[in-house]
Amino acid sequence: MLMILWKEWRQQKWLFLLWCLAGIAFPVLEAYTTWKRNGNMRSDIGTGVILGFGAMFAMILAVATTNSDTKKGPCEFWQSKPVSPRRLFVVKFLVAASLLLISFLLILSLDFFTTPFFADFAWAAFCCTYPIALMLFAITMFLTILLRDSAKAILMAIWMGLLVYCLPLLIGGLEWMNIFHQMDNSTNNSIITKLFDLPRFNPDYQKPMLYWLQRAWDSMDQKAFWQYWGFLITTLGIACGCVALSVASVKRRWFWQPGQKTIVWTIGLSAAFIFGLGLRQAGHNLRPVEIFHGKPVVSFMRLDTQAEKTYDWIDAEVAEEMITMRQVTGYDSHAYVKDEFMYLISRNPAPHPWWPDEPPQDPDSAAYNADRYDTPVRHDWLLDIYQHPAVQGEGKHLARVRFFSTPPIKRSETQPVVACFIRNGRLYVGYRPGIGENNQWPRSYQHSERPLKFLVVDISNPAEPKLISNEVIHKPRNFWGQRKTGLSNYGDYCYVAYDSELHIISVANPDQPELIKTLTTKDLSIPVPHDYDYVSVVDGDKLICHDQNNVLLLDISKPTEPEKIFYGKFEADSSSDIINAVTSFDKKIFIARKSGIYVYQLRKESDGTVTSERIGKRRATPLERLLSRYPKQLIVNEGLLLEAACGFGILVYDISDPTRPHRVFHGGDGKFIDTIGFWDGLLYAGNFSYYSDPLLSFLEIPKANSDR
Amino acid sequence: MIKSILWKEWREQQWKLAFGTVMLLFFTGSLLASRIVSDNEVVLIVWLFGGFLLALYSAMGVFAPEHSNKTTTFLASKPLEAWKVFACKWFVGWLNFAVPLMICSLVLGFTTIRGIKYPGTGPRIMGMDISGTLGAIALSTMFYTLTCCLAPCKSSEAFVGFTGLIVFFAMIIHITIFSEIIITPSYLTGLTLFQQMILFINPLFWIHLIKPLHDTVYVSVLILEQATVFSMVLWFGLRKWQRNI
Repeated sequence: MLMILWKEWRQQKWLFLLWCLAGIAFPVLEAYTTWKRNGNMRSDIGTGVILGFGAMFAMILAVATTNSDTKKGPCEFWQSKPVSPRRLFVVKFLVAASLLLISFLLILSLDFFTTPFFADFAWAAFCCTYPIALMLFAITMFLTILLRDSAKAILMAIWMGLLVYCLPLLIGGLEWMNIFHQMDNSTNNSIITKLFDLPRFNPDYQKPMLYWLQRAWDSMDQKAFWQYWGFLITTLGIACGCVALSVASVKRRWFWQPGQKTIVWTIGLSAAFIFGLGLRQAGHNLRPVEIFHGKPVVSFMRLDTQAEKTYDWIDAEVAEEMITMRQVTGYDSHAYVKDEFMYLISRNPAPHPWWPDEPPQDPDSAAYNADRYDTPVRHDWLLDIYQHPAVQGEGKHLARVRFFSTPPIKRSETQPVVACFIRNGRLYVGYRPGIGENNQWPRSYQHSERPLKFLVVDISNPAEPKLISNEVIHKPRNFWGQRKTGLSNYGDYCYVAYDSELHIISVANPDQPELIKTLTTKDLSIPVPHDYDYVSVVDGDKLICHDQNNVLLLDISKPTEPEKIFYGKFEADSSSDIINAVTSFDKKIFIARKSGIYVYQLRKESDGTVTSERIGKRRATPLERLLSRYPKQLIVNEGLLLEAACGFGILVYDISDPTRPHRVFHGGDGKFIDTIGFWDGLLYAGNFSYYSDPLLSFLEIPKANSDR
Repeated sequence: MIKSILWKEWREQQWKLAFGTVMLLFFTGSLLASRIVSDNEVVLIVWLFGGFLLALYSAMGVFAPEHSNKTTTFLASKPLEAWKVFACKWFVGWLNFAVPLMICSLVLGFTTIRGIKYPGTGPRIMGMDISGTLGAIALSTMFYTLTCCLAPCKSSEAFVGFTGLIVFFAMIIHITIFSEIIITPSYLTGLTLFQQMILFINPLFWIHLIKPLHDTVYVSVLILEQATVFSMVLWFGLRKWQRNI
């Protein structure tokens, strides 16, 4: 036994040392360069090395270690010795498992020690890749014995690797084998993270072990837990099976000699098939519009350009460089389209994401802006677009109004823009600036007051906006900090939801908006205190509000006396699969979660209550989830459900049969899209929430029967 | 006699050429049709990954099978100098990735020209397509030659593949070290001749031919240095072949 161990170590040590050296070189280099730049060492590339090359190294190790023992000479030599093939291959596998374990941990060590906040991801990479590496090692070992040709064995093993990594991306039922899904959820939902973040053991309790086990069990996400066990048992089971097959193939002299040509064509064509299938899921078929009704359309519109006119209604001085609009972000912006103009309310500078490398910044004032942009369709252009390529990429930024400046705040502090709308020639803007004393500075960034302010601007002559008023319209009872709140307009009224209350504001007198009613959860007979995150008018005269688990639907045909139609709690299989976006149409509620689209039918029971029943769902494909589909907004238009899917662009579902919603279009060309809407006959798609270029792109409005 | 050796090689390896062409065209077409990335990125993906993978696979099948199948003695018995056999084998192996890359570039060029909206941009795009194809073929040729000539004597096909991976890693590590430690973000300006020589020893810098370089010094250093490296590696491979045949 010891001799076999010694032999295996002698066979594998050089490859092992070479791999360790090559693998650790990248994190060392990265740590060195960050140390040189910032004075502190930081590395996260080891995780990438393990994810990208860990399994491949296992295959190379398998070929290198098996090939020498299965050649004609050594094979016969081994069979003449009193060493059973079972012992030989089990030892081979165990030595390889140990070497893989040591090398993976060594390569990841710098990630663990230099970047602790990244450790979850690094552990997830280890826990996903190690079982797969063991499985691929055993498969390659078996193939090498079976084929007696290292090149063919490597080709087949690479193909097996592709299947292991890619098939779960295409087949929804194999989600539990999907490494990318595991990695994607590593920071919040993964069982791996949970295992390393178990509740603390407390010996003071009466039955501490039982109590700790119970708490640990409760803290687990059950679905993720069983999925990981399924993954682990499958990979290790296949590995053990392949070791057994390797032993059997040596004992029984199994030998398969397919031609290299056959193998390569089979592998190539099947890989191409898988690739094509994958791209079919991820590809874009909703085309950007270049010409609309014979007029050129800007291919995209930058929002951070210099306005043709600027109006400054701010008393206080705001540092000039801080006003420059570099980015607009979700909690701090809102767009509204009226006729051919888009109005964008934003706060500048945009909050800066927290990052350890970021140098501390002194607090400074920020400004609230209202911007007006001209239509992307160049109605005034009569000439052929091809003679004027400059029109591509340009949009008209007509005017900017700076209407409020905050007290000094830190870049990372959110200052919500609630929403804006236009009614009777007035632009109404709801916003909640943090004002008053910031008594917890600098540890917390919340001010003592965050009232709802209402700006009223006379835009009857859009070229000359006039300030009517800019007053506090409501002070919340409780301070809810930086939560996003919603506002939606219906006729002469608008509805604002925050602080578990729904406020009805009248703009019947255009220059004097007035808070006329506040509805609490008690008024609406809702059993649980309820934080509305979003509110919008849907389906003509319905108001829909939702938070992470609950949906409230109100009938606002009598605007000042909203009637509750439906209130329900919609729980998902997984605690992290919250409600991201909701809309309602034709007595149905459409809910978008990360896991997919769910359709609920509302039914009126004999006792007058309204209940909901799930009638359809469309699960997000693994590729959609891998490519960062994260629903932010839902719109129903002409029998189609449009979804702003963030990293996955725009998704369009056919809901003509609500029991079977299915995807018919995908657009966005890889852009990050969290806001969609209609503007002058086009579908606009933009990114207002995350850090990237503030761009709007324009697409054809999808039709149910158009070419797919 | 050269003709018969060429014919033998062609008969042995023609399916690889067909395989490479089909695969590269399929992946290019799929990427273009899906519009998941921009056309420029498609071109780069196809040229880089296609070039590397096909060159690696081709390098694995040039000299190693002759050793594995013990047919080197048969080749040595023929009335032909060893260098001619070596050149024939190298050339047919080179065709296996160069021809698919050229066909693919033709398709890409044709697709791009069809999509051109503005008059006058066609020649510029075609120029970039041609220079990019040449760069991709030069890069793949260097990688192919390094892989098949630097692999140890009498290597199996798998070991040649492993050598190719080491060569690839060496290129990546070289470029990482250079870009992280030695040069600043605007790394193509203000380099001394010595730094340029260290930089351009890496065949990966052929990608710079895709973008037109106005500084002829860079182009000259790149071409001269790569030609020298290529000749040396080829000579090394030939010597090895002559000793083992």
